[in-house]
Amino acid sequence: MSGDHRHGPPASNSRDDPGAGEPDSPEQPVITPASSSGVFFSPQTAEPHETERASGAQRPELDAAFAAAGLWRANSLTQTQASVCPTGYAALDACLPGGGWPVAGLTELLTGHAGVGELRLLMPALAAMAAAQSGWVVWIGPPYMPNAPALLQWGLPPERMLVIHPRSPADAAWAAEQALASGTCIAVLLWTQMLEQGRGFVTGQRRARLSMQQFSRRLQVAASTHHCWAVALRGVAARRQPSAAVLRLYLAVREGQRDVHLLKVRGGYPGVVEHFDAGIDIGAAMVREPASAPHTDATPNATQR
Amino acid sequence: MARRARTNPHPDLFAGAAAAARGTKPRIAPIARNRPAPDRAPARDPVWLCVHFPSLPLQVLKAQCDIDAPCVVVNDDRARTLAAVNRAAHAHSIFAGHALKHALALCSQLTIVERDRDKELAALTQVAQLLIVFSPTVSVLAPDAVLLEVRPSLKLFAGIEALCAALLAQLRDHGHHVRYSVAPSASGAAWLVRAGVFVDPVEVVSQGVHASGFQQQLHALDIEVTGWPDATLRALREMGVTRVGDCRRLPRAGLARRFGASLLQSLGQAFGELPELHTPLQPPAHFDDLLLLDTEISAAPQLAHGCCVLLSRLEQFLRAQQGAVRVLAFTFHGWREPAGQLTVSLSQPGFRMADWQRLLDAHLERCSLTQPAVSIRLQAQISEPLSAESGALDFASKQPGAHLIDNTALHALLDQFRARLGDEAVNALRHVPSRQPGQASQTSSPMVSDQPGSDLPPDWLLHDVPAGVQTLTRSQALLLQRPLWLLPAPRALPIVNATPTYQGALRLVHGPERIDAQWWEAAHSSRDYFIAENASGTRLWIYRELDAEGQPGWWLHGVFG
Repeated sequence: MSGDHRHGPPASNSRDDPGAGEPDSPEQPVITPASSSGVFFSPQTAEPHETERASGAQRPELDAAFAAAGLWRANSLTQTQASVCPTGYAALDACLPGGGWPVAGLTELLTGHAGVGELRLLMPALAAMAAAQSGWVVWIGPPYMPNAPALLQWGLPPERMLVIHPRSPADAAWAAEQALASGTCIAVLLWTQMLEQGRGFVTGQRRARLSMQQFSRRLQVAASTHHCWAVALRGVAARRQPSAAVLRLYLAVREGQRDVHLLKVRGGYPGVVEHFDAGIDIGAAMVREPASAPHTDATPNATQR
Repeated sequence: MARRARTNPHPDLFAGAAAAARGTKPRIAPIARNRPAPDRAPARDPVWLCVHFPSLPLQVLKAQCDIDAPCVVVNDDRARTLAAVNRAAHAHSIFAGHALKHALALCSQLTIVERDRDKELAALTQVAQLLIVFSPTVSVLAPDAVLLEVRPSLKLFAGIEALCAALLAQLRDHGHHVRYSVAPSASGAAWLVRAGVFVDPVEVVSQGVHASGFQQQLHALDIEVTGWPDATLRALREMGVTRVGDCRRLPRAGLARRFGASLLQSLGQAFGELPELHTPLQPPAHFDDLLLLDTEISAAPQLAHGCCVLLSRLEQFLRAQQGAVRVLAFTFHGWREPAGQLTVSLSQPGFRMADWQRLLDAHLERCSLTQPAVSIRLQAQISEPLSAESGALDFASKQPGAHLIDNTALHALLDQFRARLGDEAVNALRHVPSRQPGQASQTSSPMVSDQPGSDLPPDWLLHDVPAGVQTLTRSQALLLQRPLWLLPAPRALPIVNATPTYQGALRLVHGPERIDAQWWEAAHSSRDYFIAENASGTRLWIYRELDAEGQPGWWLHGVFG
C-alpha cells in the first residue's frame, strides 16, 4: 500500500470519520467499529496532530510550547511505519506508532483460546481496508468457519474471504507466503497451531526445516516487501519465544473484560490497553426466560450484569 | 486468394508512363534501376515470403533413422532419386537428387527410408499454423514450402528484416532449419528459395516487381526450379533453353503454341505480372497436439518439460486464433495404453504459458502415472475470444478508493492454491438469506466478481433489536447478535449441575432469540438462542431445541471471536 490518502466509503452512521474530520479539534472522535474508519495515512502526509496523537501526547498546550521552542519528542523520530490502518479502537490507536495497525508487516496476536475476541480486534481494520481496496482476505487454517452474516454485519464482504484448510504445516506456510507475495490480498490471517507442533516444518525451495520462530522472519520479510498485512494468530505459549513481528499483542481476558497487552511494538512502547472493546458489549445484560421452555431442568441460572 | 500482382504485362515499356501517371518523373536510365529511386512512390506490390524446408522428408522420419548412421530418404519415382540425406550421408558425398544406385555405390551401409508425403504435408501444415502470427495469408506450397504474404504485417514487425529475424527465431525454437526468400510474387519467391538464391528483401519491399535484384536473379535461374512437367523441361533443354531468362526472351506466341498457355502464365506469375491463386490456411477450431518423448518417463514431475513444449505451441495457436482457453486436458500415453491424464482448469480463461507453467508444476506433483509415458497429448478448446488487457493508468491508482487489484492476479492466486491444495481446501463464503443460522453462511467456490456485491447487511437482520441495547445505535447493536465463528455442526454441551459447560460453567448473558424453522425447511425445529459466557471470557452462541421431538439439552453453535 502506498502512503497516500485513501477514503473508505461513507460510514453508515452520522459520526465524523475519525482522523479526517477537523484535524484541529483536540478531542478524539470516538471510534466505533460500525463507522468503518477507512482513512489510511502515513507519517509523511499525516497532519502534525495525528503524529502527536499517535505518540501518546495528551497535553496540547505542552506540545504547542514544544513546537514554539523548536523541540520535539524523541519517539516521533522512530515512526518508520510505511503505512498504517486505524484499528477502530481509539485507546489502542493511541498506543500504536502511526495510530493504527502496521499494515505492511507482521502482527502477532497471542490468545489463550480461540474465540476470546481476537476477530473483534481485527474486524474494524479489515472492514475499512476491504472497503478501500479490492483483494482477498485469506484465512489459513482457522479453528472454525467464519460466519457470513456476522462478517456482513461488520462490513466485510463474505465472497472476498478465501478460507484455506491446508493439510500439512508446509502447505500452510506455503499458502501464507504465496498469498503475501501475490500482491492481491488485503490481509493474510494465519492460525499457527499446526505450524508450532513438532520440530518445525519443511518449506521453501531449499527444503529447509523451519520453526515457527524462524518462519516469523520470513513472514515479516514477505509482508514488508509486498506491503501486505500479515497476522499470525498464536497461542499464549509463544509469548516466551522471540519473533520478528513488527507488533506483538497478547489478548488477555480478565474479569470478563478484554485487555490488549502490547508485548513488542516497533517504534513504540510496550504497555496495556485495558478493555479495548469497551464500546461494544456482545449482548446487553438481558435474559428473558422463554415462556414455554420444555427443558427447564437444564436452564442455567441467568445472571444480570 | 487471388493476389493481383501486376496487370501491366510489359513493365519496362510502360513503367515510364505509369510513373508519369503517378505524378512522378519517368524512369528512363537503365543504370538508375540498380538503386532505389528516392522520388518514386513506395511500391504497393505484395511481398511474398517463401519458407523452404529442405530437410523436411528426413525430419518427419527422424524416428526411423539413426543420427550417426548415413541415412537417405528415397522418392517414390522410377529413378529412385534421393529426397533428402542426413549429415552422415553427406560425409560420404551423397546429396539429395542423386539416384539411389549412385548412393549405394558410394556407401554400402546406407539406411534407406521411403518418403512419406502424408506426414510431410501434416508437418508442413502444422508449421504453417505457427506462422499465422506473421501474416493473415499463409498457404502451404506442397511438398516442402510455406508461403506468406507479409505486406500487411510490415508495420507491425517494424520492417521486413525484423520480421524475417523473428520468423527464423521462432522456427529455430521449434527445431526447423529453413531457407527463405522474399519476392514480389509467390512463384518467384518459391523458385528463388528452391534455387537457394537470396534477394535483398528491403529492395523488394520498396520497389516491388521493379526490384532489380529480383529481376536479375529470376532471369538467371535454372529452369529446373520451375516445377514444370518433365517433358517441357526436356524439350526446352533440347532447344538450348536452360535459364528462365531464356524463356522470357523467346517469342510468346510460339512458346504458347508449343508448350501451351500454362507455361506463359506460370512465367507471368513468377515475374509478378499475372495474378496467382493461393488458398490461405484456415486454422482449426480447437487445439490437439501430440508430443513424442525421447525417453520413457515414469515420474510425473519429469513430464513438465514436455508439457511446456506443448504449452508453448498452444500459446502460439491461441495468439494466432486470438482465443483463450479455460481447460487444458493432458493425456499421457504409454506404449500400449494410457498412462494417466491431467486436467488443469483455470478460473479465468488464459492464453499465456507463464500462467500455466507454475500451475502445471503443482498439478504434476500430485499426479501419478500408471506406467511409463512415451507421449503427451494436449487438447484444448477455445472457450472465448481473447479479451484485451486493460492496464490501469498511473493517476487512476492515486485517486482515493480506486485501488483496484487486477482480476487476473486474483485468479492467479486462486489457481495456485487450488493446484497445490486441491479444490476442496480452498473456499470462499457466501451469505444465503435464510434465518436458519446453519444455512445462512455457506462455503462456495471462490469467484472473482467484476461487480462488487452489496456490502450491506440484509434486511431481515435488522429486525428484532433487543430492548436492552439502548446505548448503541440500531445497526451497531445488531453487530453483536451473530457470532463471527460458526461451528461446522452444533456440538452438544455437557451439563454439570444443571448448567451447560464449555471450558467451565456457562453464564447466560443475552437471550433468548427464538429462531423458528419454516415447514418447508428440511431441518424442522424451533430453537432458542442465547449468548453465554464462560469463566475464561469466551462468548458463545448456544441454543436449545423447543420442539418435543428435537434433541434435548444445550448445543454450542458459534463463538463470538
